[in-house]
Amino acid sequence: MRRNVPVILTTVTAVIVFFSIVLFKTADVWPGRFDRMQQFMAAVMMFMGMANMTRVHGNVVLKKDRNWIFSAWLLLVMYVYAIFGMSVGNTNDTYRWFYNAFIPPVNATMYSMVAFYLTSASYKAFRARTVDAALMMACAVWVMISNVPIGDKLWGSESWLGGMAGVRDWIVSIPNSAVSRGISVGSTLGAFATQLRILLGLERRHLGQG
Amino acid sequence: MLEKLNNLDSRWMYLALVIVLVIPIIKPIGMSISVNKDLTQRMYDFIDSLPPGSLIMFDLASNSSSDTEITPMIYAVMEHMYQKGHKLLVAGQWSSGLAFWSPKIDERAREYGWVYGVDYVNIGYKAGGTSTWRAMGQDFWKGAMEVDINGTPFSELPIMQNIRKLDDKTIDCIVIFESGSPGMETWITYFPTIPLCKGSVAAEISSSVRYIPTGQLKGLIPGMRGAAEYEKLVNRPGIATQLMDAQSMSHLLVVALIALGNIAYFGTKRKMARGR
Repeated sequence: MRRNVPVILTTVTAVIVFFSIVLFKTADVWPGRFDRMQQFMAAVMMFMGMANMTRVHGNVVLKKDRNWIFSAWLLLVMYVYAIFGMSVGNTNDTYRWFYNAFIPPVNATMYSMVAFYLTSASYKAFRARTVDAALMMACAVWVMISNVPIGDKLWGSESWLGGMAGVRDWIVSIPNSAVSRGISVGSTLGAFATQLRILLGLERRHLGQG
Repeated sequence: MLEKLNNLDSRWMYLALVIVLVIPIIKPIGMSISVNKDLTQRMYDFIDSLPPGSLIMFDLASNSSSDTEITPMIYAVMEHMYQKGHKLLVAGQWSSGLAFWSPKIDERAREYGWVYGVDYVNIGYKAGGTSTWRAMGQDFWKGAMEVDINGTPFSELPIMQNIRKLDDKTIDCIVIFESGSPGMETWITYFPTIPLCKGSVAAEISSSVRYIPTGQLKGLIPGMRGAAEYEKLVNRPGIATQLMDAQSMSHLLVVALIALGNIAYFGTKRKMARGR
């Protein structure tokens, strides 16, 4: 029962959606209904996520595992903020202030630190050890310089080959796009194969089965 | 000397970065910016070509970590919309994006004298991912739960009376401000007929430009440089233009460090070979 029902549900749903769209061109009937169901499920999943967080971090707190205080803090913040939000509504100024006063500065700080790591990493890791590495380094330096106004100063976009920016655009739109599309086609084929395996009931790992 | 250079303490680099970032902000050099004809100019021309009163939808698929890059883009595009008399529908695939940029959009809209519910509307974050957008494609009101970000019913908002379906007959253009996934693939895959433009963080440019020659993207604002270019096009220099000098200097520093690192590496290698 536990093994077969989810597989049957998945296959039946996939077959209905596939035939509705491909054969009968009626994407708004059954696929539309499934979309609405999924919207509801997305809201339910939020609660399941909370329940799972409570289970995982609750165990850490109860067992007083390493760094349990952070788990306790996470649960406290999650529940206080969720309950507060549900009681006052998401348009409440205080509710919004908490979000805007904490998340953007923390996010910005984290992201800004990347610039420092990048600077240090470029010094330590960007070495022309091989021809491939040298080529990659040359492209990176070219794109970096041509992306800022100083690139125009060095070799203006009105001059031969469109200047630094012209060469950059060629690198980005031709070799880069070709490789990027190749990766996309490959990953889409992989995703399609996985979806086909799920549809046929061959892939069960997402159901917690091997 | 070479070995010392090879093991240069990272903190010196951090200090150098702070210096090259801060000085041009305090004392700008004012380097001129050329506009990228294939990306930024295309987007500007496309939005410019829409008849006045067109409805443009913003998809805020980013969060506050991309504030420096995305905010100037949003402001520049809003300025263009104001100049052309377009209307704005704000939505977002990222809840964090809406939470962060909605107040900023409201502030700018007040400056333009836009009336909420008439000239622009914000439907807020709607859970459910692509299913929700597809549901809006069939019935916008039902798919979006019939309320805006403040919980006001769509029936009370005049602008919403004409927005019944998420399709190319209703929406003249979607401008997505993106820094990751979910992002423009939602529109390219499920709504290919709605013209799409993108404001992209620098890290995403390489994966986005391939959609330009195919016409799947009508235009692209590439990173903060692109935002500065758009500011130039709409003739309202803003924060992106101000920060261009600092970005120039920081990029130069990184290039100088790469060169220095290689000199130290090859120098040490040569010295070791001679020692053997």
